Amino acid sequence: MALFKKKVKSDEDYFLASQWTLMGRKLIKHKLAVFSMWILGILYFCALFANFLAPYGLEEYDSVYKNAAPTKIHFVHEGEFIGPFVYKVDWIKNKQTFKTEFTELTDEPYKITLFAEGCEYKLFGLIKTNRHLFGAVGANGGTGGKIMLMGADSMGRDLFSRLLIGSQISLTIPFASTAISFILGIILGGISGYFGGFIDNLIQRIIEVLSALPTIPLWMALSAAIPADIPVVRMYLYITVIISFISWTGLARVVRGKFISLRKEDFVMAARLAGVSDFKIILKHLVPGFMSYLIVNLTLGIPNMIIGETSMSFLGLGMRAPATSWGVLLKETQDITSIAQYPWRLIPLVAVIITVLAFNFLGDGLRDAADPYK
Amino acid sequence: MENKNKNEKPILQIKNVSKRFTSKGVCVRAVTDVSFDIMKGETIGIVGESGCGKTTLGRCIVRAHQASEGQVIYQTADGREVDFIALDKAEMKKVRKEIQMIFQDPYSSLDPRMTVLDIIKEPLLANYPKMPKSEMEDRVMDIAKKVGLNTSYLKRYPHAFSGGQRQRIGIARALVLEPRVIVCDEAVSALDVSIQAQVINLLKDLQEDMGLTYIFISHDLSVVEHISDRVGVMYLGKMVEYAETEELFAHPKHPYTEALLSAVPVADPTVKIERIPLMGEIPNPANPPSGCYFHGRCRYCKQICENQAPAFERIGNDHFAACHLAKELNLSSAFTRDIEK
Repeated sequence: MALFKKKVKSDEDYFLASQWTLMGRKLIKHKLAVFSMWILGILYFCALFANFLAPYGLEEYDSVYKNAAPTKIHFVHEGEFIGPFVYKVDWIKNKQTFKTEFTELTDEPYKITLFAEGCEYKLFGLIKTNRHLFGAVGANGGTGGKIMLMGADSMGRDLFSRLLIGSQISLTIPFASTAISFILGIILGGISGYFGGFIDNLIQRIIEVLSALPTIPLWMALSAAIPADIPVVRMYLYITVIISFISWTGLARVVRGKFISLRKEDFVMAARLAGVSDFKIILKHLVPGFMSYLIVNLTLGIPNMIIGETSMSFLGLGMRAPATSWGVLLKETQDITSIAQYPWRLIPLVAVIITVLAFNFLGDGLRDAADPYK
Repeated sequence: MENKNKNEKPILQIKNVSKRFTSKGVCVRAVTDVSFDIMKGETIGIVGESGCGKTTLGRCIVRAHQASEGQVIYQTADGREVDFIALDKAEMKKVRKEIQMIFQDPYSSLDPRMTVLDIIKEPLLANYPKMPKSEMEDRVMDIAKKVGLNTSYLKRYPHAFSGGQRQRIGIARALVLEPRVIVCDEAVSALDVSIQAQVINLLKDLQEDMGLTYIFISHDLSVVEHISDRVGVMYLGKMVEYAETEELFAHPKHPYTEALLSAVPVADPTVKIERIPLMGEIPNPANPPSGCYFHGRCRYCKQICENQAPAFERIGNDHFAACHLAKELNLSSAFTRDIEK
C-alpha cells in the first residue's frame, strides 16, 4: 500500500487528467500530426487574411499578362543592388510557333514594397482598406509592372491572389458541410442505434439507398436543381447543403454502431437504474463516449469534402465563375494547352494535395490519441 | 433471524418470475418460474454455474430487464405494496431509488469520462434535481467516507483507481440514494481474494449501519456461505433449492446442490473429498430437457425424473427443493466432509 501511495503521488497529474487532456498530450507526441496542424494553421490563417495577403483582387486583370509565367524577381538593376524588384513585361506572338513570348522591359524597376496600395477590399467583410501585404510599385507610384508569383491565367489575372482568395471557399465549405452532416449523422444514427427495431431498419435502408446512388449523377441532378443565376453566396450555401446531404450516411453508421456498443455498457445500465432519463443518458454518457472517435472520423472526412467540392466545381457542377474556389481554378486549366504550355496553372492542385494530406496526417494522429486509456 | 422476521411481511416477494429472450424465432428461457421471499435486513445468496440465469433474475428484480411473467412485490419504505414488474415509468421512478444494483465488472461500470464525484453524484442529480449543490456534495462525501474512499480522490477519474477501489465507487454510487434493497451481481467476482474479503466486510458493515437487504448473486459458494442468511441454488433458469445457509450446506436436498458443494475447495490438504463430477455440459436453455432439467446429469436419476418436472416445494422448515427424490435421498454435505476428517 505504501508503495502504491507513492506511485499515486507521482502520477497525480495523470489521475486528475480528463480524457481530453490525455488525448491532447498523446497527440502532441505524434510529430507528423503536429506538423500537419501547423500547415493547416498556416493555410487557414492565409484564408482568413487572403484579401490582405494577395497583392491583387480577384477580378483585377492586365491583358498584357495573359498566360504570363511566374514573374522573375530581380535584385540588381543596372549593376546596382536595390532590393527585390520586378520589371514590366511586354509580349509578341512568335509568327512560327504561335506562342506568346514575353520580354522584360528593363528600363524601369518596380520595387516590391510592403503594405503597398492596391485595389480596395473589405478585410473580414468589414474593414475597408486598399493596403496589401506587398505589391510592385514603380518610381512615381506607377503600377505597370506586376508581381505574379504563380503566373497569370488566360485573362491576365494573378493566380497567386486567386488561389489565396479561392481558399476561403475551398477550405470552409468542408467545415460547413461537415457540420451539417455531423448533425444529421448524430441525430439519425443516434435514433437508429438507441431505439432499434423498425426505425433502425428504416434508417439503415435509407442509408443503403443513398450510398448506392452513384455520386456524380446525383450531384449533377442536384446541381441542375440550383438555378444558374442566383448570387454567389447562395450558391455557396446550396453546394454545402448538397455535399452534406450525401455524406452523412457513413457517419450515421458509425454513430449507430457506437450507440449499440455503448448502450450495453454497465455504466449506462447503472445510470438507468439510478433513474437518469434516456435523453440525459444519451447526452452525458453516450455522446461523450464516442465524441473523440467522431472527431477523428470527421478529420479524416474533411479531405473527402475538399475533394468533393473541388471535383464538383471541376465538373462545372459546383462553384461557377465569378465565384472562385480551387475547383474553379482547376476547371480553368481543363485543356491540353494549360498542361503543355502553362504548367504553373496547375499549382492549385498542389494546394489541394497539401491540404488533403495534412488533414489525413492530423486525423491519423488523432486516431492514435483517441483512446488514451492504454 | 427467523424469530425476528416471523411476524413481518417480506420486503420482496418474487413470485413465478420468468424471462424469455426471443431472437430470430428461437426462444431462450433464461429464467423459469422462480419464486422466493426476502425478509428485510437479510442477505440472500443466489448461486449457480454460469449461464444458469442468476444475473438475468437479478436484473429482472431491479427491472433492468422486463420480466416476461410473474410479480416482484415490494414493500416500500412508506408501507405500500407495489409490483415492480407492472409499474409504469413514472411510478417506477418513485420507487427506483429504493432498490439499486452493484455491478460485476468494476471497469465497465464506471464511465471513464466522469470524475468520481460526478459518478457518485449522478443518481442524486437524477432523483433530487432541486437539491442544493453543497448538500449534494456533502452527501457524496459522507458516502465516500462510509465506503472507505479517500475524499481527496473524488476529483480524479476512474482510470486512477484499482479494481477494489473502483468497486467501492460502484458501491458508493448504489448507496448514495439510500436504498433499502441492493442486488449485488457478482459484486466481488472480479476482485482478487484479499480485496474480496475487504469488500465483503464493507458490505456487511454497511448492512448493519443502514439496514440493507442484499440479493447476493455469485458463483463462489464460499463467499455466499460467508455472507448469506439464505441461499437459492439455480440450475438452467430454475431455482432448484432454497434454504437457510447452514441448512443448505449441512443438508442439501437436491443432487445438483450436492454436486456444487462437493466442488468447493477446502484449504486443508489432509481432507479427502469425494468429488461428484457432473457429466456433460449444461443443456441448451433454448431447448431444455424433458422432465427435471437436471436429469441428464444426475446420478440418482429415475424414470419419473425424465418424464415429469418436479415442483418447487417445501420439504422442511423453510427448506424448498425441486426434486422428486428430495425426501428419500441422503445427500452428503459440506459439513459431513469435515466430520470424515
